Amino acid sequence: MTPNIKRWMTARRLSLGLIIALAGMMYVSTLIPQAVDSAPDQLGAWRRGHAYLLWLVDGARLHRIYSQPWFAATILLAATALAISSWDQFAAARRKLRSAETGGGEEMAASAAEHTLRSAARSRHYLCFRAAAPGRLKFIRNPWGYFGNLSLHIGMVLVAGASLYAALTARQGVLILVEGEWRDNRQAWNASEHGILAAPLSLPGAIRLDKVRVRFGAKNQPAEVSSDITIAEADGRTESFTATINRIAGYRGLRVYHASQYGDAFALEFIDAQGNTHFEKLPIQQPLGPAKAGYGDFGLRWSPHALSAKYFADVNQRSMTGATPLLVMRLIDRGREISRVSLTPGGSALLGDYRVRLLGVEKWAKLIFVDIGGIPVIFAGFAVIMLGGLVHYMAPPRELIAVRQEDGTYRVWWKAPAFREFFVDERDELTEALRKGHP
Amino acid sequence: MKFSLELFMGANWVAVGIYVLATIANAAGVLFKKDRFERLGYWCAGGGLLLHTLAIAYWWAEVGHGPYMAPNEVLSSDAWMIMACFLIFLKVYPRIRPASILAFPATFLMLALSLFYNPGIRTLPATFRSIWLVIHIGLYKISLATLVIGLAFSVFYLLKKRRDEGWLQRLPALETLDIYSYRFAGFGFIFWTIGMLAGSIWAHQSWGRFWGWDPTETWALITCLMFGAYLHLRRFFQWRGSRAAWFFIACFAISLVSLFGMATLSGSIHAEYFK
Repeated sequence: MTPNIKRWMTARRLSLGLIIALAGMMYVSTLIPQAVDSAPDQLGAWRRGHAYLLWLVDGARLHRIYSQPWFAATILLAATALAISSWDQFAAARRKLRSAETGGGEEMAASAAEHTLRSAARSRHYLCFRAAAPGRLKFIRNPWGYFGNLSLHIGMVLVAGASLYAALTARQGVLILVEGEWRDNRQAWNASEHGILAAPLSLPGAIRLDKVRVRFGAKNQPAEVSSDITIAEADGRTESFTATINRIAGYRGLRVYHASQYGDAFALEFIDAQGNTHFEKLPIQQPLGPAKAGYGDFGLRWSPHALSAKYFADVNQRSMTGATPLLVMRLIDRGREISRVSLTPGGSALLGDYRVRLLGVEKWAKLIFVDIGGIPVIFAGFAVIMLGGLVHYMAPPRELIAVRQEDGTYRVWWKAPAFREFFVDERDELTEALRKGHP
Repeated sequence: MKFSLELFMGANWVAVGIYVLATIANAAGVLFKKDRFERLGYWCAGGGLLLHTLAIAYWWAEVGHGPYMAPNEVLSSDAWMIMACFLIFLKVYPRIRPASILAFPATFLMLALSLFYNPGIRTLPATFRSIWLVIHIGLYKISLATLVIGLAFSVFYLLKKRRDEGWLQRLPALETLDIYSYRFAGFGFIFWTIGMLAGSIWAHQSWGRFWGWDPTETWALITCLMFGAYLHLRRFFQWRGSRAAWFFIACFAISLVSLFGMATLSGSIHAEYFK
């Protein structure tokens, strides 16, 4: 690397510019809704209200800032600049450890005996280091503090580099399954996404959700939610395992997560005015308590109306494990309720023009299959940042530099390269110890 | 023992009262240089903190989860953390005493505000049952507490620079105020960053993603970058004095947007606790 490029990459203005550029991009992402976390109707409403900005938003693809090559390039540039700067930080830390320059120090003793100096330094946890110049002694308290910045920089390089790798190569698929349901590996995921350098994730085989188990603790709070899954591969082999919330399962290199979305799926039969029969299964989120409802909104392919539904785990609203849930459905026409019905399993009633029967209730769950690399490096990078920050801000180094005089005594200087004002008491104690001649 | 909401609310109001007494005694001690009043202020603060701790523990035992699921719990635990961190830092760095002028009223105001929210019991979703969540939230609270102390020194710097007379003369020298706000910004930055780490480990464990560009996450990262810029400017561009103090105040305002603004304004998953 030429010195000019190195100088440019480690320029303080570049690092500051990159920090501000990244913060600016993130700020823009909070003003312009991002496709990754906005519903299509939210995105559409924003675009209708900001038609005058669309040339810019669409031209620069500002609805997908975090998946743009220029965003990735900015992070890559930041990681590279930090990596080069880390080397400079290492060299600077070594230089500071060895340097015995008294410039910038505060003179604290004009004539101190060596044994007094050593014992005063030792009693205040100053460690003796070999000074680069002859006739000089150097003591440092928290010498590792000089490496705090280096650690901060290396940690940031690891996090930025590994995050970029993860964003470019990660892929995942989401399945929403009802107990007993098989999902063939040729069928699409309910939702999926992948980085620009990765191929879409394929289902590892045909998948069945065998059983969803919800264990409730005190005050009907869900203590554990888990799902038994069976995967049948093309060669006929089957394998069963359990995915639990907060406990990741693994399957042939994939990580299988149990999402926080689960609950009861209601099997319904609708008979319209013409006598046509339609079957629907409505998965609705588990309620948060016996007196609280879980909610869901659904479109019906065979009806011009929408369906808004809620359910209670127990018709009497006393228990989360009651055998008789209560389903309440509202038929919605252009945002207005036109009919409402409440059903328990086996029950039947009229909902608008439809005769509806609740055939049964089964559990459902959402499962996420993830193929991602680089995560251990990201977390290791965070740990290195943490270490650097703790060392740099919690344990800043202080130095005692002593120069031997002709009479064998030492002239002593004290230095605190950072946060000097925090340690003036320590300096005064040392001065007093050297003056009195004992620690 | 049967839970009594009246007892819980009463204990909190008494704690508010003790904190108010602590604030008055402490302010009188600092402003008029009366050590006796200042000491009384710290004794009151310690007593208030003890009662406040008991009230939080009583609530925790009743609802079955830590104080982070509802607005009243969040504000009360933030207030607790500010007071607890201040008293701990005071032991280590006795020269931060003047920061009590901001830390004490911030504590009683936040606790009093928490008591105006509905103290309903929130159910803890299964994904929230992770030690990483507790660490994640705890670290952000510590970060907020250290930033409040740093803010006090930035504000003092600007006041003293403008008019160095009266009680302002009794504050440490300008250079000292400046360095104290710098160091506490460093503490805040580190706790904030570790908080993000704990959050991403929790997210990775619970949802299969370590980062999701959720509005609160994005603002937390913006805050981290802005404090990073502040520390960078101070270290490499020799920023200090008034412009560093103003920059710190701006960064602190951004941190409040991340912690409270996004929780109330956005559809973030982090907003659940403030609904």
